[in-house]
Amino acid sequence: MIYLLKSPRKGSRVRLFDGQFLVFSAGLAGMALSIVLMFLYQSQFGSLFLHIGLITALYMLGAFLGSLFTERGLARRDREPAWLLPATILAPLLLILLIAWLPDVPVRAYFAGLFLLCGACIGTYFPIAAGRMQSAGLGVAPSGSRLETLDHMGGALGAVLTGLVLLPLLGTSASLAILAILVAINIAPVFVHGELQAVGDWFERLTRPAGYMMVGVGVCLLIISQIVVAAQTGRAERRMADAARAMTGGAELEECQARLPNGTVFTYYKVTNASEDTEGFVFGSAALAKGISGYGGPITLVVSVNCDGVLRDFQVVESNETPVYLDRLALWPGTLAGRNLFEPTPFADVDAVSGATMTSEAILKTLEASARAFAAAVLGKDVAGATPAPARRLPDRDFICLATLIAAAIVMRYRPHPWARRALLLVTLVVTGFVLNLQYSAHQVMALLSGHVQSAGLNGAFFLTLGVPILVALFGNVYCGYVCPFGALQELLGDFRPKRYRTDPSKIVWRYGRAVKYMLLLLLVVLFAVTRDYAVLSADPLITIFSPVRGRAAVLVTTAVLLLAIGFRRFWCRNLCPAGAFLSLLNGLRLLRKHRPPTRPSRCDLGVQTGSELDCIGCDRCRHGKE
Amino acid sequence: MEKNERVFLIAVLVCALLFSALSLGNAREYFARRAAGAVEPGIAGQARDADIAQIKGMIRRQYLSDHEAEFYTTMPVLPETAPRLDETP
Repeated sequence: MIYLLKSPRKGSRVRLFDGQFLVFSAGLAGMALSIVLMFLYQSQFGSLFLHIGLITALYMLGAFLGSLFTERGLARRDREPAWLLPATILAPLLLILLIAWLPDVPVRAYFAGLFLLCGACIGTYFPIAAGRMQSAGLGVAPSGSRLETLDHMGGALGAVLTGLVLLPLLGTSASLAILAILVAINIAPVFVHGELQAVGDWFERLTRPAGYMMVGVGVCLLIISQIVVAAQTGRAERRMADAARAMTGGAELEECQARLPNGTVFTYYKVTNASEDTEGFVFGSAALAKGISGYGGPITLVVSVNCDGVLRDFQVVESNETPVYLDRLALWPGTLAGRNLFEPTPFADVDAVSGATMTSEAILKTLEASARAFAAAVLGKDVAGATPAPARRLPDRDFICLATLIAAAIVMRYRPHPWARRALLLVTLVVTGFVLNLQYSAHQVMALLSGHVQSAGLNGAFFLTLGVPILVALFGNVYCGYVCPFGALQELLGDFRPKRYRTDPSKIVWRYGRAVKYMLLLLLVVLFAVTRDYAVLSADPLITIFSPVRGRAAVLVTTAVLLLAIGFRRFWCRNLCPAGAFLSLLNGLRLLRKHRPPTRPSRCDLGVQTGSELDCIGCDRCRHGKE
Repeated sequence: MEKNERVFLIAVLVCALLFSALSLGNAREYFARRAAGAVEPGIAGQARDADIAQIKGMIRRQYLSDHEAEFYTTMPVLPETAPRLDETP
């Protein structure tokens, strides 16, 4: 959409696309709204099929009246009045509000009015769209056929989308909200005037619209995925109930509620035996242990204890931790069972699990804090000893290290020197790679895109998820250029390889390879939007490359790309890295472009051809003099 | 196109295919896990488990209609002497 709006106009004030999209979206919204109305009618009065003929007649009559009104209005003027399009967009939005706020006891006449109004709102678009097509230079016959085609196409899509996806998955309110957005998009041509630069050869003419389309598809999928997750009311309660049933092995569970000191009402389960005596409790940690954070944010547990507070079992029901680290803790709950959570320091002699230190420590703290809060709020017991402290608000070691390296990278952009750069890359490799195991990967991309930036403190994970994208949008892709340890390893390998292995391709060929990483990013976005499971990202070697815990798949991919990095400079980063592709897209925002140091793309030895390309990582090798 | 460039393109393609295959395999595992945990639909005359609490919750939230459609007719009450449906005549 943005691409088409920004595309150059061909000698006309009005774009053909504007009229085409108008009639397409009107067809889609009209069909979708009428299906929503029919669904509501069926819910209220039951016998839709008895009145379907009348309903269709009212809708079509409305469409006729709407078209007639606009057509007469346009016939009296030479050009489309400025208020007409905003008014025709406002009318269906008002209709959507009327549908959303149906009276408690609606009458059939009210629905009849809504069907008539729905047709009228949609009918108004057609003469406007026809006028725009004519102004854009399209003849009468092609305009008519295109109006018909696009209207039917939009109607078919609207019916499928609403009947099979929106209404069954999201219900009426969310469906109406999505339709309102679709209608409101038509106001965009009033505000978007920018024009794209003329493009070059066939490859650029192909990749530029494809790139915009891929971003559009990815964004739409993520929005739909977010809406579906948000619409699943009671998901957390269901997960807790499932976990409680699984942990208590079919024992009788009684759902109870209690009020916390802060006024929050939370649900727990009482476990009873055959003679209805209480044997224990199952409770969730979400409301009881706030402020405790693992690597990726809070970890929600469901905990089963007996009446004295002895831990029977627990399950992780929600977290943003890297799945490979959680897998490492699969057998761990069994070793903790039998400890009394109502006693002070129940885990004093328990060590964190190697390879998943932050996650296991956060779980222990969460268990302890939630059990104390439960004992106090439900059982009225006061457990001695200190409650585990929530995460600090001050920046931790990882945060400071990353911030310092990024600051050094930004400074180095203004004072480029090849050996200073290599020294910084070496520091990056050792510190953020081998020592801290901190690298931006597909995990952070998806955490950001799905709004999982829930760190309780200023730690490394928070910096990577939120800080790195913001800094890249402001200062260019300095993260890939200087602070990524895997990128540093590959570049150092490339710099110190023997001359006979230097086989970098020409820039013309290299651009084919560079386009692949955007496709891989789209693949991961699609898979994540569909599954909402971080485990689907585990093929990205950046997630675990410097960790003692590595998946077999990641080892395979890493070995292959490191061998190839000897022959082809920064092989993974330039061609395959999905996280790098995401940062490159942010690099395209160029928010502080006037303050960035100028580059010399003609001397780039990483494949960049022009200054407007997304793939510049700001390494400034082009400004290092002759190498 | 030179030999090293052909090798480069093949290497990129192979790695991308490997990465895609691994990612799709992960997604397949996810769906297999989900299917294993899902309630099986009723087969061979066996009743399907229904979560009554969830259904009641859905009615309360107006996700399901709480009354029958108008075109349903009330079933006639069978006389006491008539054979029940689950009895063999």
